[in-house]
Amino acid sequence: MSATHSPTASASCDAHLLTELPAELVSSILGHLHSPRDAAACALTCHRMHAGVQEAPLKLRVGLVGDGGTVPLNHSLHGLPMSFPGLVELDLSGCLAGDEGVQGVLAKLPFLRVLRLSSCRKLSQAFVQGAFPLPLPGDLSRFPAFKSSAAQQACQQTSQPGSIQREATRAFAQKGSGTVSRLGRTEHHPQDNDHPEGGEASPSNFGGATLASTGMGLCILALNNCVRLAPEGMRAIASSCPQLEHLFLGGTTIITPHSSAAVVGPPALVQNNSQSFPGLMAEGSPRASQVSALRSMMDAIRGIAPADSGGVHIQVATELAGMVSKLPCLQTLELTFASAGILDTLRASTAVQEREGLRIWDFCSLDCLLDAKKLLHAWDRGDAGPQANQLHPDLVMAISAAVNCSSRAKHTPLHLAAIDGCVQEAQELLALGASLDPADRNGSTPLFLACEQGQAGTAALLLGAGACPCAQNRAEERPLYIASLRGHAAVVSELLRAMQSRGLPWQEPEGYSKGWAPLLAASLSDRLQVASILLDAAGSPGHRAAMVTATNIYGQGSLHTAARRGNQPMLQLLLEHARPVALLARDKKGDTPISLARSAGHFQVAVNLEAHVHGKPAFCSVPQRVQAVAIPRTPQPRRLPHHSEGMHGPRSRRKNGLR
Amino acid sequence: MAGKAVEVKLYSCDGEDFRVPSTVASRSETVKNMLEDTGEEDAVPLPNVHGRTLSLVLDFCKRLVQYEKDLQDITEDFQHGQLDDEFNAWKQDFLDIDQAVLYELIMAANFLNVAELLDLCCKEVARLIKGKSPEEIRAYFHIKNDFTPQEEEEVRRENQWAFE
Repeated sequence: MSATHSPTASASCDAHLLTELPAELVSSILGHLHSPRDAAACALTCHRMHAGVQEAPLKLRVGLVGDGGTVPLNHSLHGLPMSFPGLVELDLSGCLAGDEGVQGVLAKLPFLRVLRLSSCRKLSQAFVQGAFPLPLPGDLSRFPAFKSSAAQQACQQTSQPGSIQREATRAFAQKGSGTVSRLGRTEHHPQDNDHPEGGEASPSNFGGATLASTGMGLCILALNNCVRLAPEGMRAIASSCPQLEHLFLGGTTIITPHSSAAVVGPPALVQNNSQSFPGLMAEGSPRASQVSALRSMMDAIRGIAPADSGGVHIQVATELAGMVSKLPCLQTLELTFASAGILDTLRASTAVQEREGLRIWDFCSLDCLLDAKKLLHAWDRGDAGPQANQLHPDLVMAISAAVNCSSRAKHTPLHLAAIDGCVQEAQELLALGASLDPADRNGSTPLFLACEQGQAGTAALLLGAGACPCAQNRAEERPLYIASLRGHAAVVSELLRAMQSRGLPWQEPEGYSKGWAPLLAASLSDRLQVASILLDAAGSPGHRAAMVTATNIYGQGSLHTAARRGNQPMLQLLLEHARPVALLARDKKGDTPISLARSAGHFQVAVNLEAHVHGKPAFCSVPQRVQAVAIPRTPQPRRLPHHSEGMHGPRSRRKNGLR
Repeated sequence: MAGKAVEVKLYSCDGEDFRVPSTVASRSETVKNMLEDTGEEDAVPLPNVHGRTLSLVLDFCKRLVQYEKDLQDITEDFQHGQLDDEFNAWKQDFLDIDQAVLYELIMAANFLNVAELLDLCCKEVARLIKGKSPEEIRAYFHIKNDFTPQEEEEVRRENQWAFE
């Protein structure tokens, strides 16, 4: 054989233009576009590209959420099937897509394989329960290509998680993988609801029979943040999905045998043995403590000692071990937020010991994150066989569902990494698909918690990844406010840099709850260093003066708070940027900074301030205090009743502080 | 039989010949199949690929083999990221080529069936498309607008939603 050099052969390898490439290669290129705008722009260039866009198996992401705003969707959902009939993957995460819109899209996209509906809060409960993820429950014949779907945080409320799991599992059982996670957007964990254990008459959340008939091929199953998984459910998984290789249960509550067997007593008080994985967080809300108080009372009446947590750990671990022993193919068991007790007991059990290579993952641990990354990598490259390679997208989806699971306080692993300042962990979590701005029970995002804890490293990472620096929690606090209040100078600098580079306003008191602007917060808690960073960042002298004199809705400015605290260095710093007459500004109660200093007992400060107003140098000659944050944070004095509300500000609204 | 040191000969359509380790050549599924059919002694003719393109493809395969070997050798997990970073930086340099060469590379990667290279090049073209208006795409990729004004209006209407 010899090398031929015929004109035809050489012609066939020539493509000098994008449009000269064969259709399948143009398709491959278009498959890497993720924004509908880019795909539409291609379609508008010429006939060839138009046809290419229509045929290409596109994977698009609609309605990217910007800083606070969402894209209107009706047009998109209507236009998608017309513009891109070949669509195979659609990500509507975070969109305000309604039931009809999603149904319409599903019906008109015959090739759709993957649909992501995470955080689609407008979807109704009925849609997710009865119709998830298809217009007709379980009717997959109409959508031959449909493979998997993720619906994390898909709807606002969930009342019958059992049926969601059942429907979704049935729908996916024939398809090789299923991801059902975080379907609930309930504000409280179900245990804390008005009917803590109500609505769950059936001990099994799993339709064992349904699964048994269809689940033979299931090899990946993600049931993250599903409400309750009883031993019957685990048995159902084991018996109906014998091929199961990867099971994800992070954030899911497991019920122990006694609880499901108990039938006496009012429904709210029976299931006292339920052990939620999130053992990390104490029950904070008054209602939760009421419930637990009632529980222990009922226990005492019935003569049962409160289940000691060690016992529950062992029971849960035993159930899990039993399930493992019945799943011969199981390679991965993900149990993020399981307590250390459960994990240790499970790892030590014979069922797990005998199974070599069984991974037990907790995505709050860096080792497990790296392991997951390694596994994904192997599947992607096809090292784990062609079947694994084919299922790679499903594993990606299941893992991304699992890294977004949450504890009782609705903390995701990313929240915890942010709090602890684990930069690498946070990085890996984001790479595995963790959402950037999930809200915990207080509505706080990971960035907010990093700022609250002064973790500049994780704050910088999250900001760099695009986390929203303006996200408010439920007490309407913003990251810059909390970082200023806590005096985390490095974090404040990071936030200012990010906000300025994105052109986001940060100085106006209107942007903060009740006008508690960052400088006011810094002055309230004696954070001299933060105050000077904020003033430096304000730019022109005019802006600085405006910032110093800006007031909250109680008419108090930073001078008022600093005077009331008697903090001379702070007053001095502030007065460098404001005219002396600002010391005569009256708040809503008619107090000036000077009168506040006096009534708080800081007489020398008041005298100095008065002198300053009259242009005498007395104030400036006061010896400076040495340290920037010398004054420890003390409880606000309450002897000025008319100020208590104003001084307390938004902080008092936080019911569940971080513990 | 296929020891690591075994070299194979590849011929491009313009008669250039390349000697590479069979592990490198086998990153191309097409070449691998041919080697399995004919044995490693015979030279493999590649009538669809130019010498200058083939040399690029083989560069990529060499680096890929190296990367995979490095991956096997690492002992600490953090080195994984380091290797990825190095490989990515190398890819950046590698892709610093003319558009026409990029398309030839895509054609060659497709013919030779080197999935990683095809993916890399397609991603690169997609990256070049991203964020451009239709007019900018036409100008950048030298695409002739062959729509009649009427057709263009229609297509624009059909896709208008995506630009809102």
